[in-house]
Amino acid sequence: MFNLERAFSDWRRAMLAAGVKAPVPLEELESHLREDFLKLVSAGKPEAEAFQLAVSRLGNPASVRMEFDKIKRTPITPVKIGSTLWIAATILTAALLSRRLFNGRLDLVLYAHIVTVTAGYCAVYLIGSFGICYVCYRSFHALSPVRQQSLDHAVQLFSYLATALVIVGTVLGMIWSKQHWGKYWGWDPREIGALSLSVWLVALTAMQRFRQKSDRATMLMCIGANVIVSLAWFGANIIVNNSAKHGYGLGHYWPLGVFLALQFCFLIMGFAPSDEVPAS
Amino acid sequence: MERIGEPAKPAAVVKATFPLDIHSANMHSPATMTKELVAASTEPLILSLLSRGESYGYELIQEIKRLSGDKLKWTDGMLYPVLHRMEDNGWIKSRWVEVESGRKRKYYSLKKDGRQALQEKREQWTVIYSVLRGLWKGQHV
Repeated sequence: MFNLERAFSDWRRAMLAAGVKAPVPLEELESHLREDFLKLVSAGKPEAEAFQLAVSRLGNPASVRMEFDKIKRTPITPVKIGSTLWIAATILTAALLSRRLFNGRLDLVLYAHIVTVTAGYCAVYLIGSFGICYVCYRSFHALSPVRQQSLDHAVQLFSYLATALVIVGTVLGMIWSKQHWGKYWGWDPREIGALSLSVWLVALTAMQRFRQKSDRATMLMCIGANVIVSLAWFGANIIVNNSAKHGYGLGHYWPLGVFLALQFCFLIMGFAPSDEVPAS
Repeated sequence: MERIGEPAKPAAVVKATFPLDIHSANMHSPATMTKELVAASTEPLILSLLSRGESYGYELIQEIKRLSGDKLKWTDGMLYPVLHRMEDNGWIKSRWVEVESGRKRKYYSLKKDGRQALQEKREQWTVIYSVLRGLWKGQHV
């Protein structure tokens, strides 16, 4: 016997496998398919036949994907600028530290740790800024499907990169710590920060991989990553320096405080209701 | 907001605009439109339809079929990338609307830039139409 919901579910799977993205444009295509199916059924066609006809009218997954590929453009300007800045920051960090490496003031493991962690943390700021772009576009009704897809693609790429870099950097830090301090892990605020960020990034990449939540949820998690990376990087250093009695006062906290307050403002903007259809 | 689709124009109106005599209509199947012509006319057609009120993908396809007397058929899957591109151009905007039984439809409507784009396309197509009409005046195919 024909099972309609199973047929729709199989169709969705075939579309996703062909590379048609969800929720944009898959939700809209499914809405169209259901519309056509209902019209055919009300015209007297049996359900199975109506479904097959509606699917064939919409086109096979590969051809639908090809049609959407035709409108793909180069990444939008914020993505281009952000990617360029990230590459420049990574190269600059590696270049500046290489002098200390060649002078023998920095060993290779520590050098690799600093470069990978810095590149990873900068990549996290990058996805956070893409999340902010998403919220701003959405708030001012300028979030077109093309912009959304460009931001999705950039977030996916850089979140995978950030996850890999932060985890590799943390492991390198553990190796260096064992060599110099005799233990892999000391529950230092910076270590706790790196661990928290790694967990957050793994959750973010898993969410994207298995498409459990809507694009908005992903983008809000990216802004959340901005908060965690700031606490892990600058917050942890303030705590470490304070405990070492370097005399850090309130004056050192305010830039971080302002930055975090801004992130919370963007999160509140992102939680505002929208027309977005959640991924099913 | 006004939605298109309901005020049905009889097919005779379309035939009056593009007259075909009985002989050619019966003896020759209508010429298949080239992909290029269909592609070139898609944006002006969508803009023109949306200038009458907001609409959604399925309804736009049905309207085009009806207005062209089934001679112009858009592949269903082809329409959405075009709508998305037009939205990216800032010509149209969209919103999800919940319809009966919790289903959702994405409605599109024209923006100010879209009206401007429609005006430009209208002028271009009018030039082509008047040139062809002048060339074909008195000729029988």
